[in-house]
Amino acid sequence: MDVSGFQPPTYCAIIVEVADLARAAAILAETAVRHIRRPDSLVIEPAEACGIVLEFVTPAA
Amino acid sequence: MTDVARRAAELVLEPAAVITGGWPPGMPADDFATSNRLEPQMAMVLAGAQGIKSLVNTLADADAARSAHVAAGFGMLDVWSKQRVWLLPSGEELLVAFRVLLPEPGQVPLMFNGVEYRTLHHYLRPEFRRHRNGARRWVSVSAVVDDEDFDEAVAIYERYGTAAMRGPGEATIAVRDTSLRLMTSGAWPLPSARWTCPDSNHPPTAPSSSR
Repeated sequence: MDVSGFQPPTYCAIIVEVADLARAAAILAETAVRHIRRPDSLVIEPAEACGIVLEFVTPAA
Repeated sequence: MTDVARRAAELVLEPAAVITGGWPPGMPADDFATSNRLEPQMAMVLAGAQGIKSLVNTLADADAARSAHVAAGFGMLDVWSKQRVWLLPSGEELLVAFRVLLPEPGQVPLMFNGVEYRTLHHYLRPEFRRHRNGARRWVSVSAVVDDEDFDEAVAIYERYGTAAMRGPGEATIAVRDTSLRLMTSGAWPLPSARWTCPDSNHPPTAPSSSR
């Protein structure tokens, strides 16, 4: 994932806690949003998330 | 600083939302503001490429917060009032009213704004507080600042939260159960960030259909 394009000063990433990663992943797939599945999170690269890194995690992550 | 102003500055700022923006390069801000019914000062905040443009904080009293910030040495724009009508898919119309506080351009390393919600009950509707992806809360917002602005940025945001961690070129400021992670460009991405993983090990999941 290319995260090198951020020119300071700028906000660059948000991490959001979700109740269930599988449910969130299903919605991303349903809405055709490309994402990286990790064991404990889902990561959406800037090109798919209005120019930021967007990561979904669960409380245990 | 008066007690009222101090309370306004210390107690009521908390991350409420982020504003994302961006419009085609070369489009004048005034045109963007007109076409989107934005005030020019907010259009300027939203200028440039897509991204997070401002961290929105709730204010109990925008005038008191402005006074507190001016007393602390920040140049702040005048508070302005705004009303909008939200037309819901059901046909229901909601009149939302709020007051906005913005720093003057160039006053802060990272843009933030304050909003005094006059019709907060609309935002608290259960259907507006649920997302079908099961989102519960923000864990953190990260930002990159210039090396020379890092200490100032940390000092500014420490006014609103607790510096939970600070290291060379990075700091985490906790505001209730959310945190703001500030770093210099040399520290981005954080060594602990999972985003640095090689894509070959975690290939993006292909869309199930085209958009």
